[in-house]
Order: sequence, then C-alpha cells, then structure tokens
Amino acid sequence: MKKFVVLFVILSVMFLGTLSAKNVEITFWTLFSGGEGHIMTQFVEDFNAAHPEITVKAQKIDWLEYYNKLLTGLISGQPPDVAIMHLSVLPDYASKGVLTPVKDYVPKAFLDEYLPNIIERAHYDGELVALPLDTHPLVFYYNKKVLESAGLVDANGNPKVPQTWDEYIAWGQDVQSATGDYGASIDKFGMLGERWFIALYNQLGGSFYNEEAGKVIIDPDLAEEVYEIINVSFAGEMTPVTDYDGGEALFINDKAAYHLNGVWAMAVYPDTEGLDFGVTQVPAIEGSKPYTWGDSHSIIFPRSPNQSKDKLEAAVTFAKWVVEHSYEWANAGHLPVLTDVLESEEFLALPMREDYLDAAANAVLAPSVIGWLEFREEMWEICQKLVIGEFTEEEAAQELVNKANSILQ
Amino acid sequence: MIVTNKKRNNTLAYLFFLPFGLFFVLFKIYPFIRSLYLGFFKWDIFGSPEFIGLENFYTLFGTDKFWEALWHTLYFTILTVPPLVILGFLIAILLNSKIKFVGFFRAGFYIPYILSITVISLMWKLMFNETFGIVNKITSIFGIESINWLNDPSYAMPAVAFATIWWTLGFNIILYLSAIQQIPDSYYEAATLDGANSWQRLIHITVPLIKSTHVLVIILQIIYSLQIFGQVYIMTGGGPGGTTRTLVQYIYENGFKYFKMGYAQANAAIFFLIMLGVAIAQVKLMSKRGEGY
Repeated sequence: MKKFVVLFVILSVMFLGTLSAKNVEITFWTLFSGGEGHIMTQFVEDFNAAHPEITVKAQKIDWLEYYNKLLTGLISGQPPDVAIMHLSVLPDYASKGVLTPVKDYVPKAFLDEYLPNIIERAHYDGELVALPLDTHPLVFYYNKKVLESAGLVDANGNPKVPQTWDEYIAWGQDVQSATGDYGASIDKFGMLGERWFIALYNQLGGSFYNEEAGKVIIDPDLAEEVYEIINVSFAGEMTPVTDYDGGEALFINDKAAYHLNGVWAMAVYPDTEGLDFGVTQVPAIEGSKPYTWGDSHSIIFPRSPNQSKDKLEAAVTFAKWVVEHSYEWANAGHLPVLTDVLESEEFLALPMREDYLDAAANAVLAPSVIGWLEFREEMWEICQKLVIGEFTEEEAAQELVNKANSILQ
Repeated sequence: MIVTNKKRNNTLAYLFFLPFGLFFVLFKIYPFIRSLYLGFFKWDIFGSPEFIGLENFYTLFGTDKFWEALWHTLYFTILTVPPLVILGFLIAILLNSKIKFVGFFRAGFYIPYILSITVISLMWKLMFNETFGIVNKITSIFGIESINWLNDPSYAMPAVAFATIWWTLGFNIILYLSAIQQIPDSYYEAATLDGANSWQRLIHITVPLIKSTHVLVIILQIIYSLQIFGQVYIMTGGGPGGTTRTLVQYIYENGFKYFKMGYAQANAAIFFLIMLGVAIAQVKLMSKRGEGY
C-alpha cells in the first residue's frame, strides 16, 4: 500500500510537473536596430524571465529588408507569431486578410487606456488587428547655437522658437541673412511631401478621409495653400533640398537653425557631442492646434496555417506586456500611447520629454485606406518636383488630387 | 564502335550538366516563364491571379512614369558605356606598358570593383554632399560655385554615372588587359622593324586584334548599365522628383512595394525584350569574328 502511495505521489508530481512546464514558444520579428533594437532585446529577455510558461524567440531583421521578408513569410504560410508593423501600412495588409483580429483576447480596460487617435487606426473593417506600441510624430528641433549667433534671442536671452509658420519663415530668413547658413533643414522624401504636408493640411482645417464619401478626398485649394507655405520656405535657399542624412548633418553641425524630424531623433540628439538644441511641437497655422503627422509601431499577429489558440494567447500576453512597459521604449524618443504610461513617473523622468509629449495627442495618422503605400511615395515625388521648380503650386495640388483618385480605394 | 562511344560521351555530358542544369531550370527558366505568364494577370501577391489579357501592357504604355524610367535607364547607359569602354581600353594599354609600380596601379584600378554596391553608393553620396562633401571642396578651389549634385535634376544622374564609372572601370580594364597580353610580341617587333611608330602599332595591331574583346566589353557593359538600380536607389532614391528613377526600380516598386505583381511582370517582360535585343546583337557580332594570331 505504501508503495502505491509513493508511486501515486510520484506520478502525480510528474503529471503536475509536465502541466506547469507546459511551455508555449512564440516567434517575434522586429525591424529595430541600434538603440531601439537594444531596448527590444531587453524587453524580450525580461519578459521571458518573468513568464516561465512562454518563450519568446526574437529575430531582428534589417529594416530595409523587413517588409519584404514579412511579405515572403505571409505568402509562404510561415510568418512569425508576433511582428511589428507601422499603422500607416496596416490597411494594405489587413485588407488581404493576413492579420488576426484580437479583440477577444484583450481586456477592454486596457484598450480604453489608449489615446483615441491611435487605437482607432489599429482597427480595420471594425476589427482590432494590432496593438499600438508608440507614436512617433513629426516634431520641431531648434539649434540654440545657430539662433544665438544669428541674434535670434528674446529679452531673456532665450532662443526664439516660432509658434507659427510665418514666424518660422521670417526667422529662418533672418538666420540665413545673418549667418549665411540655412534657416531650416528637412528630408526631401517622407518628411517633406508626406509628413509636413499632412501637418500643414490638417492645421489648415483639411482632413484626408471623407466619411460621407467613404474615401480620401483632397481639397485642391487647401493642398495649394500647403504647397505655397512649403515653397516659400524653400525660396532663396532658406531650406536646401537634401535627404535625411544630409538634413540631419546640417542641423547637428550648426549649419541650420530649425529642423523638422520625427521624435526618433531623440534617441540620438541628446548624446550628440557639441549639439545644443531644443525640441517642441511643430509651429501652427494661426488659430489652429499644432496638428502634426504621426505614425505608430504596432504589434501584429500574422495569420498562419498552424496558428493555435495557445500561441495567440501567449502572443497577445507578450504584446500587452511590451505596451505596458513602453516607458522603457520611450528612451528611443517615441511617445507612449497609453495614458497611464504617458503620465508615469518613469516616462516623465526622461529628459525633454515634457517639451513635446503633447504632440502624441495632436498626431494625425495616415488614413485607413488601401494604396497608401503607393500614394505616399507619390506625395514625396510631387513635393520634390515642387521644390526643384518642376511643378507650380497649382500643378502640384492638381497632380496630388489626380493621384489620390487613381490610387486610393 | 565509334557510335557507342559518342553516345556514352553524350550521356556523360548530360550527367555533368545535370547539377547546374537542374538549378538553372528551377531558379531561372521556371521563374522566367512564370513571370512572363503572370504579366497577363492582375495579382496582388496574396490572392489568386486574375486573367486580364493585355491590360497590364496597355496601362504600362499609357503611363508616363514607365517612359520616363525607360529614358532614365537609356540616359544612364549613354553616360556610362562610352567612358567605361574607352577608358577601360586606354588604361589597359597604359597598364600593359613598362611603367614603374605597374602592379600597384593594376591593383589600384581594380580595388573599387571589389567593394559592395552599398559601400560605394554611400561613400559617393557623402562625397557629393553639397555642404560637407569633398567634391564641392575640390571644385571650389577652381572658383566653381557649390553644386547640390544629387538633388539637382541636371546633375543627379551624371553624378551617379560618375560613381559607377569609378566603381566598375577595373573590370573592363582586366578584360582588355588579358586580351592585349595575348597578342604575340613578334607582331610588334616586326612592325617596329618596318618603321611603325607606337600610334600606328596601336591602331593597326592592338585595336583590330582584340576586336572580339571590344564586342564583349561593349555588350556586357550595355547589359550591366541597363540593369542600373542599386546605385541610384541608394544615392538619390530615384529623386529628385523621380528624375533618376530607372526601369528596374520601377519594376521593384510596383512588385514589392505596391503589390502590383502582374503589372511589374509585364514591365519586366518588356525589359527582357530590350535585353534580348542586345544579346542577339552580341551573338551576331561575335560570330563574325575573324581573328587569329
């Protein structure tokens, strides 16, 4: 009898043992490198340590390769269980039915913590298909050294930071004539034709998506007004035509006073030797809020033939954990999108974050439409043609309207 | 007896061909045929292809961007082929003469070709930078006003062409050098005895005797130049305002960025026809070779 009891105990312990050791392994693809990559790797390690029942296996993919690789994974039926996707491209993927809806796996209270402008874009066709991790809006950087040497300081000796675009242009021209350097610098691709355009267009009262028509309708008059502002800021080489690296180099090396760039630059600028700068929200059209462009890294759950409920649950658990710890992620410059994280001590302790945290709520994300991937590159190209003088403002606006009508669904 | 031997030889030949042939069919011929086939379909990669006949081709021929990209590709080819062939030949002749440090120079001209496309593109992008780049620093010595090389439509493509010439010249030099070295010295000795000067020796001996190498270098160079993509993509991104977008970039963007696979395949088919034309020209010209030492 005693033997039986012992055997029973041993067997049951073994049985329980296998139960508690039941380990779900999930794969996670990210496109982050540098500082971002380091934080994400730490996230995965910490999560694995805190959750013995789940093992996350992360794979880092070069960001230039990332979407190609994700595409191949999705087509071949071998995607990861969890992956990163920008909300701006979400509709192009969600419309193909490759993302798993996860509303049933996430508590409502958690979703309610999200900024409304962000979580709205994580839906496609009424289904929640992603958990946003951050928002990275366009913000405004100013170089204190350049402004001081141009004499652009107020009575208290503080550098003059423009509140309106009129001031931005006037003071930028002052810098140019006082120092011979540039008034401002901005990348000629996404930053100029897409991000700055969206900020200005929304500040002028425009909105891309027309609810009634159920599609994007661009107002040619507003677009022309936007292009006028952009053109004036490029006139007389106050702003040079340059790419991302070139524009950043001008700002860092004290050759440009103002600089329009995403918040991700905050991962670099505070530690850049010799750079004395400030950061704030973008200037605004008079009478408007400083609306700005924003995108968002979100966590998606690709559909795959061998997807199980266990894996999906584990994947959502991991995603939720990462979002809840996004004050760490904010070290990379990105703004958290959960209100309690935005108000958390950990986040506010980071340097200069208070100077631009309001940009998160003023961020306008790309409209939820199919074809955005192609349309946004047309936006870049049209604006480049404008600033190199191949298009007039009117032609650029007309071209933009034509492209929206022919590409966006 | 002879017949069986021949048969056995054939079998053996096929066996030797098999390992390569298998991969060639699987990864070149099959995708190629499938690509041509998909040109007649509307396909977004995820769903199933939908047959639309010649519509992709109609759209393609009616799209300004396609014609612009075709012109940019030809423009780049025009900018790069003559200098790469002529310079390649002239430098090969110099490197074949008895100058000091010839090994050093030979290596020096070839080294850029070893570098990867990303490295040379990023390097030249930095050097062409308007404010900080070394190119403007040098031209400013001669009083030339600084030029925004990669962001000015008139200079962007020539700048990319220049970087490409610097990068790939070494390959043509090697081809020419090996051809020149195969010409027997006795020809030159005989010519010298007859009183030919070095210019005459070059024009009447070297140039005609490496005719097939000229054809090879020119055709290869045209094919390489038509395939231009990486340098442009990294240095200018096809900009400013799409003025350096080439055909391969256009195909890549439509296929892999905008999910318009069928349309991209149709474009690739047209591109293939252009290349085929060049290749046929090569075969025709090469078969007319008549040299022998």
